[in-house]
Amino acid sequence: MPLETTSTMMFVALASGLVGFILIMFLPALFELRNPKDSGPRRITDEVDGIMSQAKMASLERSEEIQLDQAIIKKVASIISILRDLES
Amino acid sequence: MLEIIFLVLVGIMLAYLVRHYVFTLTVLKNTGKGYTNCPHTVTFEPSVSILIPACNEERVIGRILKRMSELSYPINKFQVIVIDDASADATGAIADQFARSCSRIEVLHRNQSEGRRGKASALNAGLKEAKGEVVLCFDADYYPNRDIVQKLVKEFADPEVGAVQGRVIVLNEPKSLVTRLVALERIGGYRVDQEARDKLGLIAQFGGTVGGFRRDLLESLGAWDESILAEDTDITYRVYLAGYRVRYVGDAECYEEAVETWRAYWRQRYRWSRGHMQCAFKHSWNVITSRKLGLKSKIDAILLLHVYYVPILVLLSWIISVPLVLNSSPWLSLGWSVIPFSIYSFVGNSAPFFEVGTGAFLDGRTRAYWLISLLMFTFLYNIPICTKAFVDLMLSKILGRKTASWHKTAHSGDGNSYIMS
Repeated sequence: MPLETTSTMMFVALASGLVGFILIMFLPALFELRNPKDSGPRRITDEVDGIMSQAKMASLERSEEIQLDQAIIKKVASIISILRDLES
Repeated sequence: MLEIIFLVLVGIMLAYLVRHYVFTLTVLKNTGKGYTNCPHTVTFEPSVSILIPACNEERVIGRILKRMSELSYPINKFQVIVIDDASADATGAIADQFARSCSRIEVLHRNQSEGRRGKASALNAGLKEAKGEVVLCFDADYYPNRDIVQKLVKEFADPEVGAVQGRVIVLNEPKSLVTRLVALERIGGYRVDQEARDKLGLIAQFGGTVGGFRRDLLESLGAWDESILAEDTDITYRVYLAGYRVRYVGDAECYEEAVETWRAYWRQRYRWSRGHMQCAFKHSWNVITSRKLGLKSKIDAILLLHVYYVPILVLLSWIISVPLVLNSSPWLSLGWSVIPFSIYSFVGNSAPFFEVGTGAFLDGRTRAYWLISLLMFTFLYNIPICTKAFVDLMLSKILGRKTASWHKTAHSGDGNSYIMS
């Protein structure tokens, strides 16, 4: 292959690589700037309302967890009872 | 000769790179272990004096003073001293109004002949009125959590602790691209850098606000040096050289209003760079010869003191690499060495970006670190800032000029809207 063609191809490859590198580097930033979805700064939640709403959320989640635990225990118990019947 | 200089520069930048990676890994390793260094069984509630220097802060002073009246620290154990530093606006009048409704708040008015000499001067004036065992400092544009005083002062139960520093969070982050990038820098600087330095027993820094000192220690050190632009860095080093340490308290959080324009960013960072360089001249030899600091702390102290030289060194390495490449230096003719040197030189020190990314991840900010690549531009912007600061400092030393005058950061008060929402 002639030297000039090789040099041209190398130059094109380098330029493409550079453009690709820049795109990969800055594309996420461009997406975020155009359509910001970041949640924003950490909130200092020492206001009473903030604390109460967080406490409510926590108790709701806990009651859901307890219900889920009970459902699992019932299932396991039913499986154990079936296995016991099989043994006998 | 050029090759040797180039290699020395690369070696210095490598030291900073290793330092930042060690910090990142330290914080990741200690995730979930909590911030408190003081056992929960210890209740330590000394008397506290809170200093708030304010010069033309009418848009924000009301917000912090209202917050001071909401603090949960025992009412009879703290005082708030607002230093109205020759303000030309309604700062003094607003502060007086709060002082009338809240007995904990006092206002010290400075006239034109006394005031406008910089933050250090204002703080020294306030210190003379302070009665507390502990002195805390807050800038006028800050908004702390209600229990911040307890969280900060309990660390003084340890007699080795001479000063404390809390965490700063940018309040007006969504305002502009500048505020978003500054917020990222803050996340890296506090969530990772400061925390790691504290965990490793290195040099945690008092940042000038959201922190404080033992009053007797501060007075014995001669209080703040009014000739230094970075009075916070200066006092930090004097605390360490006196045999005490600064404790970083990550859960003592406080909002701040970040600079909103590139011009304001320049002014602020210029002041920080020049002040930091002043401290490097003042303290480098003291740190090296100190018997109160261990080897690890000395190394970190020197690296921290000279951190604002890094952008200048990066620029120097880029300049030197050009003749080295063009003249086909024998060192660089080894093909394998060109690629890593080139990559390293191009991005300068990439390790701080890992700190920012890690800090954002630990804060649960899954989209914030999409902007990390833009920090490259703030790094490039810091090159002329630090270079000018260095040149101006050298000229002032050679020509015997007085220290640059203090250009305070203007605050718009737009952060108020983020608190209300």
